[in-house]
Amino acid sequence: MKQTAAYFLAQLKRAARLLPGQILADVVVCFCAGVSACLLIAQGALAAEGTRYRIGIVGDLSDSYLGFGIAAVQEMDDSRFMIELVSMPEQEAEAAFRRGELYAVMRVPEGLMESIVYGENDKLVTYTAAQGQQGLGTMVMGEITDVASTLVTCSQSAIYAMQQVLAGQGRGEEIGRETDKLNLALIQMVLSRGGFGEVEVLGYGDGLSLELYYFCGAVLLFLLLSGLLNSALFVYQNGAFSCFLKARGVGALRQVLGEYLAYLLLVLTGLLTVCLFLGFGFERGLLGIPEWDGMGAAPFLAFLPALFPVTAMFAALQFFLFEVADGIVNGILLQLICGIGMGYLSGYFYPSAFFPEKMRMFGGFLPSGAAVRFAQAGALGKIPMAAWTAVFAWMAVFLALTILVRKYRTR
Amino acid sequence: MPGQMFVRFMLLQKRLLGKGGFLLMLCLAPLLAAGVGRLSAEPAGIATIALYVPEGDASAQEISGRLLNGGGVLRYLPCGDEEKARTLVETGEADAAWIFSEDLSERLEELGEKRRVRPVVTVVERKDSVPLILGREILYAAIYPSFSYAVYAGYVREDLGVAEMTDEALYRVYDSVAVEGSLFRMVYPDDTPGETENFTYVQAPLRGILAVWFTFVGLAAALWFMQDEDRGVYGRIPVTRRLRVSYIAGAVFLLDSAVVLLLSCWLAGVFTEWKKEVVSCAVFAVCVLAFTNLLRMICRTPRRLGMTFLPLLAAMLLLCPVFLNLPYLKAGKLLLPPWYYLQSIHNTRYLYEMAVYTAVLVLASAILQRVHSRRR
Repeated sequence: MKQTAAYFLAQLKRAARLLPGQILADVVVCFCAGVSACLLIAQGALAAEGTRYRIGIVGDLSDSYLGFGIAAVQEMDDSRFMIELVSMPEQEAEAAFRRGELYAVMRVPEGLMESIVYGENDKLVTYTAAQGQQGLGTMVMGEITDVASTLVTCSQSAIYAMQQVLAGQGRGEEIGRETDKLNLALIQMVLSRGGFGEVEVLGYGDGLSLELYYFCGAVLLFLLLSGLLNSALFVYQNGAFSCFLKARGVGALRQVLGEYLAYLLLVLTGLLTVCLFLGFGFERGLLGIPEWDGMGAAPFLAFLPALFPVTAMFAALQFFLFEVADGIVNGILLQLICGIGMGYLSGYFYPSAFFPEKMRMFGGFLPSGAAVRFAQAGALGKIPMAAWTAVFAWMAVFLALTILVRKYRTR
Repeated sequence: MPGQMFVRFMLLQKRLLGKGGFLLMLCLAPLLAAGVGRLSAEPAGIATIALYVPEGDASAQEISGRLLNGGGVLRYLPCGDEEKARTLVETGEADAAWIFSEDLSERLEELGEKRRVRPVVTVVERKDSVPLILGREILYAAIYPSFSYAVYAGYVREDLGVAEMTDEALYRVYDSVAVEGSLFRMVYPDDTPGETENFTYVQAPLRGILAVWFTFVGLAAALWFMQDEDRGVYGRIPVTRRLRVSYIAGAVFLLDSAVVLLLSCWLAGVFTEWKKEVVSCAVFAVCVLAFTNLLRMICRTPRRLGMTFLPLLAAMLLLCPVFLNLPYLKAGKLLLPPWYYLQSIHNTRYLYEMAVYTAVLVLASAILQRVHSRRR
């Protein structure tokens, strides 16, 4: 016991030497997160003002119908709260797109309106919504253009059919007048299409708001990847020293416990440093979570203890990965791929509800999934027994595996 | 000289591939990519919609068909009755319920004749959100074809006074002139059509994740080189030539990882064309090599280098278009190799920019190397 305590103290001294650098890195991470939060809030605020997605329109806009259509979308359509259409020269639009000032660039081909009026639809509006490969945003853009396309082509079909009926009746001279009338009626109905649905909003129910969900995700991601920050502790890890300790009576179990506890304290210090900034943010009202609105830092401080068991589990996971990786280099890469992979599968980046059923189940089974269930339950103030069991079971598994690996190495 | 470099390269390669941990790390990336690629084939959506459609109603069935067969970013849960749909929303299993009127066809016909837009579907939501606003647009677009047909039929009968036309005759005319297909087409900056790449949003971040992982392979290589330097492995090599040796050591790591990166992109389903992929990956590898070596020389000790990992990861996840594409902090983005790589797949401009950035990094490293060796 005495030897274990002595070894733990020695490890603690090693960990303490890392502390200033770790705190500095935590401050940098908090700064990055703070900047991103401010930018996202700025983006959200813009959305409230109705200018969320700025889309540049280039090409042949000479047709008065097209001009009217763009003006109608800008002035009357529901989409004006999400989209701002800006007509500009192509080069200017492309430069603005590269600078990130435009969400997408739409190119209107010459003769588009003639093609629509005559029902040929052989001229397509092309749009570029991503510099690299498409992502979620581009796919959403695809849905929006599908909606717009359906509205136009169905209106076209109705008008052409009406024209056919008139032609069939031998009333060709009325076609122009009736087309204008039906056209205007359809435009009016397209603009008021929001009236098709009667919306009932139930409120939050028993789930978490998206803000609290992402807050839990961000804190857990920091904990999951904090192994990278603490990797310096393992730079000079030496297998021969472990064998020497074993020869002096400090076995694998005692070695692992001594090192793990020191490592855990290092991770907890990192967490508390970050929480200091978060607490300040909540107290000053800089961070807005609907469930905790107007209550200062109190709900966050009440939530904080729920992170300690999760921290202990993640510390055990990181410790195991460094042990199994055999060397700092592989250790870092394992931490990274496991951290990001598990975080992604368990819904730290996108809500897990976005994923297919099997992926959600798999993500929920992983340690990161157990952690997110525990933290979310903690945020709501009621942690079920199953969540406690999952977190401690994973922690025990990782510690047991680490001891086994150490035993194997020092055999 | 090139022969010596090749021998050194091969010796380092042999040493590296003998390490089980390195091989395990290399295997994890394709495993993650293949796993996510495979799982993403299952239905998924950014919002889950409980859908109640009255069974006997033809228009409701048509609308339901358009929604369920349209693919897209929403996931639908068809429900047998209205109560079930509401319960799914209340219990959080669905984000919204779309409950269609029992007499939808009649109602659409009536509204079409009067040319009025009135509620035909009840939308029950837990909380309004951007995915649900988009969802409602998709819903209204699915209703619109039936409605516009009703408007046409009503217009012909009422306004044009052609009351004698039967429903079949009206439909025949409509069907003969019906316009199909989309008016829009997504293209990449290199004019590649968007539809040539068929992957879901679940797979989309994988290239970004792999790019970040690849950068960390470069950082790990730099750390490995530092450890070897401390152990005296490069003791016989003059300090002035260490930079060249560090590039060789890093290239060993990155060559293996580049093969894994390409394989993982293919397994994840985000692979484009061989030529494009190989060129982008090669320039990216050189850029990462230069970037990580410069960082190594700035940090000077493994401990300091280790301290930069988490902030660097946070910056990459935030600024590179991995999960989200923020249109801010362009200056910060320009410093990160994955940003160039992710943009370069469909835009050669970024490939050239990445090459220029690499040259700047190599130049800065050479200057720093000279400064360090003078100090020693």
